Amino acid sequence: MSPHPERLFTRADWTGDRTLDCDVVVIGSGAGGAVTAAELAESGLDVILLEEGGYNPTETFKPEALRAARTLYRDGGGTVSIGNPAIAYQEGCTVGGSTAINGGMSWRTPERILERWYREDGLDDILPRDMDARFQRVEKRISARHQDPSTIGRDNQLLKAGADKKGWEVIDNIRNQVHCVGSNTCAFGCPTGAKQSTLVTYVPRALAFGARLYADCRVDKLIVERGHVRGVTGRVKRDDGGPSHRFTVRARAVVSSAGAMHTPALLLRSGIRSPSGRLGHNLSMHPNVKVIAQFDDPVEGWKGVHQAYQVREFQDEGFLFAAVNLPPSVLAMGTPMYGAAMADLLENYNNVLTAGMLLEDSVVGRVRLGPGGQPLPFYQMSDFDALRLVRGTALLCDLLFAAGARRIVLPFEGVADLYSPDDVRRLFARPIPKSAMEVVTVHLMGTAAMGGDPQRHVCDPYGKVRGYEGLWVADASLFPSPIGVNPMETIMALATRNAERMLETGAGSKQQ
Amino acid sequence: MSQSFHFSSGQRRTLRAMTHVACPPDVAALGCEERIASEVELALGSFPPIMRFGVVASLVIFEWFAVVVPASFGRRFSALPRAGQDRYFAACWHHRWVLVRQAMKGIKGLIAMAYYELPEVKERLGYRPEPWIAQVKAMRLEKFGDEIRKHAQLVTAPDVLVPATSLSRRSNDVTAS
Repeated sequence: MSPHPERLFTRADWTGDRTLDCDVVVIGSGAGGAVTAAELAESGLDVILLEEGGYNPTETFKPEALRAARTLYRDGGGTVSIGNPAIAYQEGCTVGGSTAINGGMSWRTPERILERWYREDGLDDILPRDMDARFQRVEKRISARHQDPSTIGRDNQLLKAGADKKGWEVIDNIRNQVHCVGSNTCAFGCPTGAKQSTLVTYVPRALAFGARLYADCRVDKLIVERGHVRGVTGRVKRDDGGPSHRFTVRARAVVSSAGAMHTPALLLRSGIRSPSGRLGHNLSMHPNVKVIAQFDDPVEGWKGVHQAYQVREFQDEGFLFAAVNLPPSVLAMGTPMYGAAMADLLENYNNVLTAGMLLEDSVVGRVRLGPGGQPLPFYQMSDFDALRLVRGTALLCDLLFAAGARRIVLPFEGVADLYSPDDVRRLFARPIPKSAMEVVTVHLMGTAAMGGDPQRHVCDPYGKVRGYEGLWVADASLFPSPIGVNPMETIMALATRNAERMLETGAGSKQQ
Repeated sequence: MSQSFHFSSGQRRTLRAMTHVACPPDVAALGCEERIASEVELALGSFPPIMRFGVVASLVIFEWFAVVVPASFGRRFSALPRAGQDRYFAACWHHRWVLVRQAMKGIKGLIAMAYYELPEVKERLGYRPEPWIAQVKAMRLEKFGDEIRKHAQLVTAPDVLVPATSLSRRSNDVTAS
């Protein structure tokens, strides 16, 4: 294994309690935190980047789901929102954050969303022409581009063939990759290093410009003195996850990039109270469901790129379709069957195509503080969204039958498998209870929204937390609304925009 | 990262019995019940305490609730004959209470995940990602090495962020179309 990069420290480097000083401390090394740290460090600020997860470089990544869940995911991936249906959600907890375990989709924020944020949320400097240079800057760093055609596997080819037969709009995905060769284990860390997560882009960039990164460091609280946030306190995590040495980081500015669950939780347990009363509110989740389509011929979806295409025909209705290959273990975990029935499906693993549908949700939930100061998300899917999930699933099944599927296993408990396009109508024969839906998500947004209205928005239009000095947010918590596409590039571009404002206003500088 | 967590012997016995029902029929022939239980233990160790408690409590309730089911004649789940275990598991799987169904799905999910992570099972399914990854990784380096190095250099090349005030003012007062 290669040695740790310079200025990167792990639990092995701690011998006792310590106090550190810097201009800006950034909490979290994912899409928001790493970008903020790199931009501020390059501009000459002394930056410390804290990451709760461990340092897991490319050469440690293996296609083993359980091992990856334990080492790269927050709480082993065992996180669920409370509501009907309960929605399993996943977040990265490793250097690189969720960018280390996502599928590498790099989409600009849809123009309609940016325009809505401008009109309805009072965000300046956010229109597509304002953001263009920021998107370009991010895209250059993470190498956002189309996939080499030779790496597109049969699962994606079938998805595209089905969409073409239906006459539906299908687009080539833009992914953050340098010659991704389709090992299709993005969710367990890219084993080739092709995916340009922050682990291999913005984190090395931040370190190159003098930032210090402390992995295995969990922030417990912000240090708040008379409305001014002066730093953070926390504990180094032992190898078994337990707490060991204490640390304090004193800083002129603090940036929380802990994600839409943990940013509001950290702020709430630190006693931060938003004048809007909306901290933790406005949680969007992009709920999604997956169907398993069995084909006569081999698909071998694990040989080829993850999500080469997206079906965008129904984007105006708020849903997208994509092929999302899963290893047998993860597929088996989520199937609504067991024993011989599950074996019957999985014995044909190489003949199945797993496809997902992402929904732009119309309701919001809330993150509250749970036991031990941990986030407790409440999210109640609306009847309207549940109907849209069923409609989207039906359309996706139509597409898969058009592609030649001979059997489709649904994510709805108690609904029999489909064997022909005529069977798809059965989905509407009687209402499917929300509790019977197997819904998951990896897109969490909106819990410390930015905007121009102090009554509605926790943060000002540039991510500074209202009512406090020296506290900023840089992650998907800032989104005033769901965006309907994969959020990584939006988080990165907003972090770039807001870092500009931090520099303009002297946040973190000695002159402040 | 995992907190160290271990099942009690009774919980382990319940889980082993559940693997026979939840997994494909070859689980006994493979003799992999212990390995599955250990993997589930490791997974639970990394779960949030409240989830871990939920799973363990569900296992205990599942084991002992069988005692009051008339067809069990007072026996725990793990003491039932195989056909009885199948019937009891199915009854819980289809139970009218959502919470019971969700607990069953959760435990089955963990067991199934551990089973399908076994190397011999992956091999039988024809899922062999390691050699595939080694092959495409080598091909990538051979074919695109120069471009990969070039991008790695770009990642750390100076390109300082210019604050917005240094640029011509953007469109703050322009109405969105």
